[in-house]
Amino acid sequence: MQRIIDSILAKKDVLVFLILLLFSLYLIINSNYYHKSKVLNLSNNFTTHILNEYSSINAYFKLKEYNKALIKENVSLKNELQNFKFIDLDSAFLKKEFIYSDAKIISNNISLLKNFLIINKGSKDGVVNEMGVVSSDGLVGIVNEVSENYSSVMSLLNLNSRINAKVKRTSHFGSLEWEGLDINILILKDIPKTAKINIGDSIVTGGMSAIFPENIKIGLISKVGFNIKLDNYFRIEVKLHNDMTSIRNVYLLSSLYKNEIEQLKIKVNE
Amino acid sequence: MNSLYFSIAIRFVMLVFLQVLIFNRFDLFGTYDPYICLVFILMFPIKINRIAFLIICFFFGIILDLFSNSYGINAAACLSIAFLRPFILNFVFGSFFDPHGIKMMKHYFNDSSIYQNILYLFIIIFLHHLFMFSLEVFSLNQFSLIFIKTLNTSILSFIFCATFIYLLVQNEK
Repeated sequence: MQRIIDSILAKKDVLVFLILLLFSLYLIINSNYYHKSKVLNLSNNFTTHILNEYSSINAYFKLKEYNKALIKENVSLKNELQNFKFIDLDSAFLKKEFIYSDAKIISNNISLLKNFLIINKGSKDGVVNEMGVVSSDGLVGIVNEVSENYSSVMSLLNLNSRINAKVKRTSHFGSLEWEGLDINILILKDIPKTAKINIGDSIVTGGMSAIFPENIKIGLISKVGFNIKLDNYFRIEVKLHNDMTSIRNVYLLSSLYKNEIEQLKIKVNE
Repeated sequence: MNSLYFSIAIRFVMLVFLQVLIFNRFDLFGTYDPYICLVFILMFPIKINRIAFLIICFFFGIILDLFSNSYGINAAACLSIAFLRPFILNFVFGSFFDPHGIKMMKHYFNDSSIYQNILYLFIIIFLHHLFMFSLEVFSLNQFSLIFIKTLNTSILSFIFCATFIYLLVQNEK
């Protein structure tokens, strides 16, 4: 017995290494599940607080750019509104499906392969899981974890993200993924070869889920290719409208019919 | 010994904040950030006991993880590098390496050839990035993606870390 203990003690650094490695692997594997461990959630609030302060200082120097972007968005919205003023409609008859609310990005990481953003709204402000996040130019991501004051958003630039999208002109549906290297290019899959698709067609959200409404712009087709020659589907490269490196102001989308849709899905599955 | 721990603590805090607040926002060529925080592990004094070294590096990684919202990948990568460092030092510097740590890290950089320095830096940086990205993706299907990402990021990190270490060693003379 003494010998066994001695031989273990002689290699105690290997033992410490293995214990710590197992612990970090536990954290990595745990993070893939929906609910992350509480230890990390608590400390996450402390680090996000520092990031929040830092980003608000940083944002001060970019106020001019943000103002320009907001005015540009206002102009395009006003122009769009013009079209509707001539139609005599009572607003009570309009069906509203989504509610917009505002948020600010406080930490934006794009150098990894599974990137997440942090925004400054949490469960206090009514944020829940699987809310969509858009900027004035296009999609940003989907909320995947909420704490009291902050929430983390799975960016479009994440190997796990799948977004339902369609070609606006022909209404062919597909799923939008990121391949990991170019931050301006996403790949649209599952469009059949029979579809007549041109370079320059615009890609918008499909509205098949309760996360994003239909027809939010995403980008333009920049290249059409094939995965394998015998495959029946296109591999379409989509150039994003928005620059993921410099977003600050975003909108959160909450669906009014989310519960209803989910209950229906459960019923169908039964 | 006390001043040694003090300087380690200062490097710890300084490099974490440099990495998190400045270098994580670099986004060179679109999506590459240099990992200057590896200077902490590259320049860590050999004199300090290996178990303490492992534990300190683990917490260094954990703190980086908390800031970049990536759970545990930096901790695992930093820890593995810390564990492998004596073997790499032995491999690169050969008989010049003494495990008891009478020589300081700057002597290694000053007294050995430039090829040995480059080899030492590149092996550690490359292995760190390889561990980090493969743990992040966690599947073998995308090996080519991981490899390209690792290679590009390590070249960038290498340039930044080498410059940083050169400045540190020059100033300590």
